[in-house]
Amino acid sequence: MAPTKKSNSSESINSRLALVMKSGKSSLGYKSTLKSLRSGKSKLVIISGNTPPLRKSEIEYYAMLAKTNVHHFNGNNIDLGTACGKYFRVGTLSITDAGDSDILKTEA
Amino acid sequence: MPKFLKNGKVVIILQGRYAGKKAVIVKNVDEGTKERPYGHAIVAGIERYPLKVTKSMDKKKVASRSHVKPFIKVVNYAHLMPTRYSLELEEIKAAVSAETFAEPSQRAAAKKAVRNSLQQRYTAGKNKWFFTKLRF
Repeated sequence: MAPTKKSNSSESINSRLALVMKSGKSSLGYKSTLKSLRSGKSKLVIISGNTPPLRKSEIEYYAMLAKTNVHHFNGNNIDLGTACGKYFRVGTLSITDAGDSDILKTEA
Repeated sequence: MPKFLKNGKVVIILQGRYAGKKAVIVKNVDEGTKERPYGHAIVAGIERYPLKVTKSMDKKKVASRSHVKPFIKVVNYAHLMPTRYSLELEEIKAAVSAETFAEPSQRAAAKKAVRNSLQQRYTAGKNKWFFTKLRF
């Protein structure tokens, strides 16, 4: 099996995420991303590659209502958790404050 | 990144007795109160949808099949699924408020008012999606 595609943009999404984790605010996990979407605090939603399609479309619908961008992470929840620097899996995450990162400009 | 759970938004109730029924947000309380320390909304919804009517039915039958049974409820945001639809609700907003839920007689009066306004809407042919049963 070929290793996960590490093209230019997916390298930098990982590094941007790391910067957000360090300098900005985010909420990891399905329940908290829905909460942040409902309250309007979410600026960007990232969904991992292996979330079930029903949950994925539910989050996309919420984001459409909240006019929030969605990024489909190229990798599964284990990879997304690693990209956030955590030792657990992360299926969905919401960025509420980007800090020093430019993730919102490039993903918007 | 605005909030979208506002007055007039049509939502689908996800949990409880009214799961699968459509409702409209009358008043939303984002921060919560002392008794309800979570984001919640007062909704008015349809408990029993009007039945299908066809051209071949006579007036009496159409009238009896077009009844709408409403409900009013205070629901946690987590138990609602918002939709892109909305419903303008001047009369309903006046009838239902936070104090309505204190006493059963007030609830009954509010439900009557909601029923009247929803019935008018349905017979006028507005907000058709709201009055169709969600099939699942």
